[in-house]
Amino acid sequence: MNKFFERRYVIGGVFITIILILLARLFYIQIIDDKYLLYANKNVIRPLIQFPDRGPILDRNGKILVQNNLVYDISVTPKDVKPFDTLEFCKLIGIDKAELDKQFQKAIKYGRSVQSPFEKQLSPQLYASLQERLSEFPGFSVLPHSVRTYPDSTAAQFLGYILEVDDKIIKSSGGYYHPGDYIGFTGVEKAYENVLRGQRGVTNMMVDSRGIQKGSYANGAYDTVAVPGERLTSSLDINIQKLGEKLMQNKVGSVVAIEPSTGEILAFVSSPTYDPNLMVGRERGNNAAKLYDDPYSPFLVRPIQAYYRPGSSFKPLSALIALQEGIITPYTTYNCPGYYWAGNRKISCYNHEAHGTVNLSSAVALSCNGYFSMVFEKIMNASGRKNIEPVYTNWRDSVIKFGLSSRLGLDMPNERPGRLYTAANYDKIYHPGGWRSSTIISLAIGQGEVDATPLQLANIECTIANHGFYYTPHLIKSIGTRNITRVDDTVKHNVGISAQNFEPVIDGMQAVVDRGTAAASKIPGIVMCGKTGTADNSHGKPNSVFVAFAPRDHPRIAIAVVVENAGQGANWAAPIASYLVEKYLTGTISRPQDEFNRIMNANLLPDLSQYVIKNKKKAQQDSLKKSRLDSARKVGPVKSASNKKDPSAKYLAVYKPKENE
Amino acid sequence: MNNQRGFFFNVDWLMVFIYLALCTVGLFSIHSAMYDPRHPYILDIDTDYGKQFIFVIVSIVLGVFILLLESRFLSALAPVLYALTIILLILVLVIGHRVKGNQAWIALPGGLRLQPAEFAKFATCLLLARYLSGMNIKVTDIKSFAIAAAIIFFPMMLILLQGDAGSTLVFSCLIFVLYREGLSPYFLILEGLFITLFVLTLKLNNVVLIIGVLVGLALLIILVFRRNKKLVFTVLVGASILIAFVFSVKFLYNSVLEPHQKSAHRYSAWNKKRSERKRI
Repeated sequence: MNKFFERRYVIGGVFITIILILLARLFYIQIIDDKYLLYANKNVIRPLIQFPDRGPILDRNGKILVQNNLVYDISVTPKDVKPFDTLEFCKLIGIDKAELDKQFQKAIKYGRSVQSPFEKQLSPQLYASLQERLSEFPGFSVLPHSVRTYPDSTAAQFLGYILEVDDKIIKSSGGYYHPGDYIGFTGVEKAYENVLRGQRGVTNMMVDSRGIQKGSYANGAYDTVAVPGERLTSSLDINIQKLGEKLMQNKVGSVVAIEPSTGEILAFVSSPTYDPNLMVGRERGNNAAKLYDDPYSPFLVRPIQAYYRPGSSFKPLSALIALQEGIITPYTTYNCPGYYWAGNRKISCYNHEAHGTVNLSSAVALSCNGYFSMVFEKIMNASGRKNIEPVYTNWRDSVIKFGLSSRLGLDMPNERPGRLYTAANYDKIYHPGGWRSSTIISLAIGQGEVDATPLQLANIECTIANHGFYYTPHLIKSIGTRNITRVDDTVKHNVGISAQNFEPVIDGMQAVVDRGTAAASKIPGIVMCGKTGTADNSHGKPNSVFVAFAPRDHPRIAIAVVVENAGQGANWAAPIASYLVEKYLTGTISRPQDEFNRIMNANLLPDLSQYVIKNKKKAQQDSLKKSRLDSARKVGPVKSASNKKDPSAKYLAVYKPKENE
Repeated sequence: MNNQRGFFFNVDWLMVFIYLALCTVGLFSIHSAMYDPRHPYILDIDTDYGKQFIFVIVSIVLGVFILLLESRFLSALAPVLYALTIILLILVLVIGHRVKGNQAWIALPGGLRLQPAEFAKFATCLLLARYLSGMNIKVTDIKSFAIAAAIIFFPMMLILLQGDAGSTLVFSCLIFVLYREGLSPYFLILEGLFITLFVLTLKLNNVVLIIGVLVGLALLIILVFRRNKKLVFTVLVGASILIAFVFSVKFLYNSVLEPHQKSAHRYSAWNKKRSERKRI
């Protein structure tokens, strides 16, 4: 016993203090903090997600455009696998030995007693042959799983496709999507993702420490049932959609048809197209890679993303504005010698043809460049040659009321706005006051600094067919059993042109088909009003353009057809449009099959050496996001205009129209 | 003290009971955590709990032997044991086996592994006990204090070289023994403050605040007891040491502790695996 004997109490005190601190911490963890309780629950209860079937999409008559198909995912639990005939198994599911070993090692790594995915998306045919022999391969199990299937392989760009979500989407979805989920990536699938995807259900399973399911938790009291996605009835008419795709094969371009009385899209053809079934299943990756590499960009949604000059199809619009402004009357005439002098620039008519004395209607019917150049100069110089800016701005306002140079608001992602230069744009290229009506005379005949999407072109025809208004184009008629329209879709957009001003223009458009430039495309028994366009572009032959609506009284269809680098509007776009209109209105095609076949079988794919521009490589790198890129960027002329730093912009503005029809 | 060793009246039965209770609890914990349905019985040698059971039995037998030994025998053996473990500690640095960042294991035939640091703990205790119980040994003597400190610090440093900071810190609790035998209470207080400051610095992550409080407290004490020159001096020295320590906490944490010894986020890895499994 030494003199430090009392110190034992100090030591005892220290230990008691430490024990008290530990006890307090234990109390906190066990009683107050529920973090570890949650961890423990997560350990035991595993929420299994029940995947709802994605909603099918129908055409306007209830025919199926896309629905779900069962495929079969094979899973493996390595622990339960007994030696088996690997060669036979590989043959049955269509993989090679190396792939089998790779997948099996992966599964083992994941956990011997855990069920891991082995091979995904077996077709029903493969499954059928595997099913009867599955008992020979213990440890392997098969789960059905639904994927998109397209019975008619049509309307690929319209419907769009779905993809497995990536990390970025998962993050931005705020926890809705999980790895392995699918999401609409383009087209209708993307636009109506929220209704198509349905609602997931959750089954809470109890699992043990190895992840093996031991039954339902609390007898399913906290489970929810999956709600399948809603059925979407689109406005598309599968008959003319398929006809349009058939006629546009081996051509680059677009067909858009709209019902003028509602704004519903009837046809939405983007050519070249692809079989949407390629974007599903085990070969998806390879197929998609091939499509991305296609120089004609099948993923580009041309009806809303490609820019085209309207060319002569712009003339009716030009005439309407002049009539409304009171610059001309239907009886204003012009004596066409085959050309028109705007200042010191000569605007020739197509083939230098002298049309003689033309009035408004015959000028539309004959597509007289001289007449419309004259009208345009009259408008622009209304308050003096030097005071063009306010007049131009006023004229531009009238034009964009038809839906040009801004997005129409189609219920589809990535619509592009088109383009029409503002006075400020011209001021920048020249200098303020440095441009005259003769400088921008190309606009009179739809050339120069105006670009429209095929959807916008078709929408202009709707407006003419309706005598002055249009509905926002849309592509869905109903969701489930509800007839829905967005509020927007029932609003009449008035373009500010009096109804009576349409008659002389429509007279001219009827004459175009009856005896004018598109006389060869006249449909027996149907009065179609149209306008051809032969729109110049800087790479190769002009684009063949045709816009029309029919019948003249109570129009049921408005259509715009663009065939890139095909030549005159009358030769290709007009007949294609007429076949679609006839099919839609009468259900058949009465005209000779030979001519139909000639159009259908013609190969008008543009020469690649001219079509593929220098920045193709760059565009390809963008891969999926490419759909946002404009075709125009590849199609040359627009590119420089959209890029203000490009020195060729100046050159563009003085772009000299060659002969026009 | 009591040379008449009787087995039944000189054993700390409470200690033995606590030891056995802990062993039992540990055994059942392992059984419930590592349960394998193929080997349901706790005695199955193929499982971790089966092995643990064998270890418990072996150690009880060994414990009985040690209890039966004459205490002088242990005392005489202490330097030999200490030397042996020191050799092992040096050996482990050369041929050691790296497990979880610590080079602390010597592989033995038969899949067993030896951790010399464990033996070092009681070898050190034995030698220290023998030394302190010697005649004329007072910790208050500078010489005795230095020898006692050397007995403790030598194996401590070797273990720290293995990267095993945990085992190293265990030795610091020998300060209680030295205190009990007359070590100045300042050491104990200083160690307590070190621990408190280390935790606080990491937890609050605000060095300025902690130093501010330290300085404030020191000034307060100096003001109140300014007559007591000795206390003022002690407080000044103590505060300086503590402030220097606070500055070195970050360095200690980052360079001495291995990553796995810091707050281990086991759940993040676990969650990741879970989300992968979910789709099956």
